[in-house]
Amino acid sequence: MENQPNHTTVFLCRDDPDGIFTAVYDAWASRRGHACVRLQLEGPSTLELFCDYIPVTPDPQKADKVIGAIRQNISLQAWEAVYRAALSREERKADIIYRFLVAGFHYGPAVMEMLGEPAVQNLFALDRQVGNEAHFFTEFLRFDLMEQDILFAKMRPKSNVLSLVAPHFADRLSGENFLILDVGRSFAAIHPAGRSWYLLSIEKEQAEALLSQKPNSYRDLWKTFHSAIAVEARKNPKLQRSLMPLRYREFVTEFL
Amino acid sequence: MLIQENLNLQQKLEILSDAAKYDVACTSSGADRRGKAGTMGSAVACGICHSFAADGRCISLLKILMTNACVYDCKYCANRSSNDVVRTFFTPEEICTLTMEFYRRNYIEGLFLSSGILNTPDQTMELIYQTLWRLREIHRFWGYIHVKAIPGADPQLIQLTGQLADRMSVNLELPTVDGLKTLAPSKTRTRILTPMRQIQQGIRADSFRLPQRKTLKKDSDMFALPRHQEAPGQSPSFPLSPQESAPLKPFDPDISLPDTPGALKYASGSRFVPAGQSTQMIIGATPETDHQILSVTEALYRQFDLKRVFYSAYVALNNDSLLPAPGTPPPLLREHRLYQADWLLRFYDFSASELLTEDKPYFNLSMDPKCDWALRHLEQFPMEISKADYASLLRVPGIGVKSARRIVAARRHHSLDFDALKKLGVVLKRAGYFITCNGRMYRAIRLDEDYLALALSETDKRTRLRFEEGVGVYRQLSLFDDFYLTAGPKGTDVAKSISGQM
Ligand code: SF4
Repeated sequence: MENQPNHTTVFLCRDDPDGIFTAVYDAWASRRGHACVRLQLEGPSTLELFCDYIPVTPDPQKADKVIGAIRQNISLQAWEAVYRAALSREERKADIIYRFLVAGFHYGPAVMEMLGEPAVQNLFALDRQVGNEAHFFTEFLRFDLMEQDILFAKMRPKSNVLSLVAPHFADRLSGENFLILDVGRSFAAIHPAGRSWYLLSIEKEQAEALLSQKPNSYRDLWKTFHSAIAVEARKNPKLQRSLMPLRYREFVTEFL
Repeated sequence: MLIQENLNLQQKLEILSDAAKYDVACTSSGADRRGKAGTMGSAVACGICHSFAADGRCISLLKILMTNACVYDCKYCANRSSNDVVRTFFTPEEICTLTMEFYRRNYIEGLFLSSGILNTPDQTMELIYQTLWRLREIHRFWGYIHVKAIPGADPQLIQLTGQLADRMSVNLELPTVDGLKTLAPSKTRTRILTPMRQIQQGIRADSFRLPQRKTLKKDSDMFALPRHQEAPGQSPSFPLSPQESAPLKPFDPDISLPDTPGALKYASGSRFVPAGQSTQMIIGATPETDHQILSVTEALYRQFDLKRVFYSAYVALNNDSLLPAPGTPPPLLREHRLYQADWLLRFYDFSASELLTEDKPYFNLSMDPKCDWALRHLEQFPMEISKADYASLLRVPGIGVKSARRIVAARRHHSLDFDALKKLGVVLKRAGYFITCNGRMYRAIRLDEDYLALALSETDKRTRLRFEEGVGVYRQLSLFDDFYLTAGPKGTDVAKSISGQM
């Protein structure tokens, strides 16, 4: 890429799985050679000289073809890793996914073992980052019971993990009405009792109305438990802080 | 004993969680089941941790006593009958309400229920059973339950309870018969081992009942203990004499368990203690050596199929001439070394006698037990990374289970240099002394015991300092050494328990 600046074509894609996989399709189909294309998220980043920029229109059909090819020719496991990577907060994720797929379509399923390859390492780093954050919310998400028997939780994840977190709760709380709000992105996962969950974008005012309701509280009981269960002689606030960094405590009941 | 009336739920919770806090096993691992319509809850094989208490320990379960009243007077225990403390109890329904309401808010993975002995072991066990029955059958709770089996209770009650629980445990309390005699005269080794044996048999019977028992996912295989073959003629390492460990009755696979009306019908899985059995020993209340403790641990794994043995550094709280004086700091570094050694037994195929002997009965506090072992076996090093088999790789300090697996996978495709090893999760700070990579060493050094002892103890210094500063090392490095390369979420149980990639 860098050694042929005159020929780099940049595919600008929307920051969601459809956008990214459509860009993979277009870049591949352009036949400009993998070294001469780059994928980049749309956004205010500065344009470089000597690059052609092509905006990509998300096309679910093209995206589906890419997804199908990954599942068929690489593996299901690879697809899951790539999907999680596509939700990452990382700016360069579109190109990292592209480089991984170049290797993946070349080596097939074995690519998942080629941990010495930078293209593989970079993708796995994203996968791990997103997976860890999603796992974090299965641990530390907290619901409050609101009026009309609705469980309500707030999160502010760095990567877009709501769609990975919601199924976990839909499975274990299948009989509950719940709503998980991604405060930063203003959209929510909604689960009506006994039905399947869906994502919905939520207007600011709606969100604020939700946020201002008073919870029907078990909070105090939980806080009582949380403090009684610590052993005084082993008290270790530094350790607690390193396991549960302050910046993650925003909505966590026992630290409110 | 006077039981305080008129306490509200919050006051009871404060007393009964405070009284339960010395129990260490707050993990929710080992059971794996999806949610089910009409119930609430699911279980995740690796366990989920939900918070960290002020002592840095993970909170996964609602850990409470049913009552802190107790007819016994075990010297080390905060709830012993001679202590002057407020006594109270939860009704089964109160426990159910707390569990359900905490669970739906995602505070917990489930319940860990233990209890003082209310009048008799039978009465206590029966109340515990009733609680679990209500929780499963009336409240339809499908999450994780860990419950204590009360030594001396009717086997039938233990059997029924085990059909409702994910994990059961009987605490061994003290590693030797003498220890028990001095500090817990009401408990004998036999009395403790009898229910342990019963639960083991129940689990085995159940696994025969399920012909195509779902094998656990790949990652959880590692929770299985490597089976050692005792050398013929050699008696098992020490601790449980024949009359102590009741013989395992031959099992007739045709007898299947009766269905209790309240039993949760785990859709395709086990119906008896599917997450296995654990136990706990108190460290530092009695003068046992590390060697004795580790040998008992090994015997428990081999002879009783335990899933986990937990260690609890003794917190000196009672005034008693037989105990360390109140205020004596709990031996946390020693506890940590025991957990590291326990890990070596379970995942690295070490045996207790390789790590400690009667002549060397204590761990080296200045480095982890694997480094300590390697120093005494320098003839096996340096090891060539491109050739060594998996079992040998596991013996190298600084190479963990996952990095060993990755090395074996990755070297099939390309040759590995030190940089690549680092990315695979190998800790070169330690491994660097013990390996070669395509014939090259990481640093030019001599394999000299004194030199290495100094260097490795320097590397471990941060660990020791962290204990002195009170930071501890719970997450310092996980067994699965996954801070570099793995995909996906980790076993919480593992990542957040004391470990150390060794
Ligand atoms: S039986 Fe249990 S609760 Fe009772 S004194 Fe002994 S250790 Fe404590």
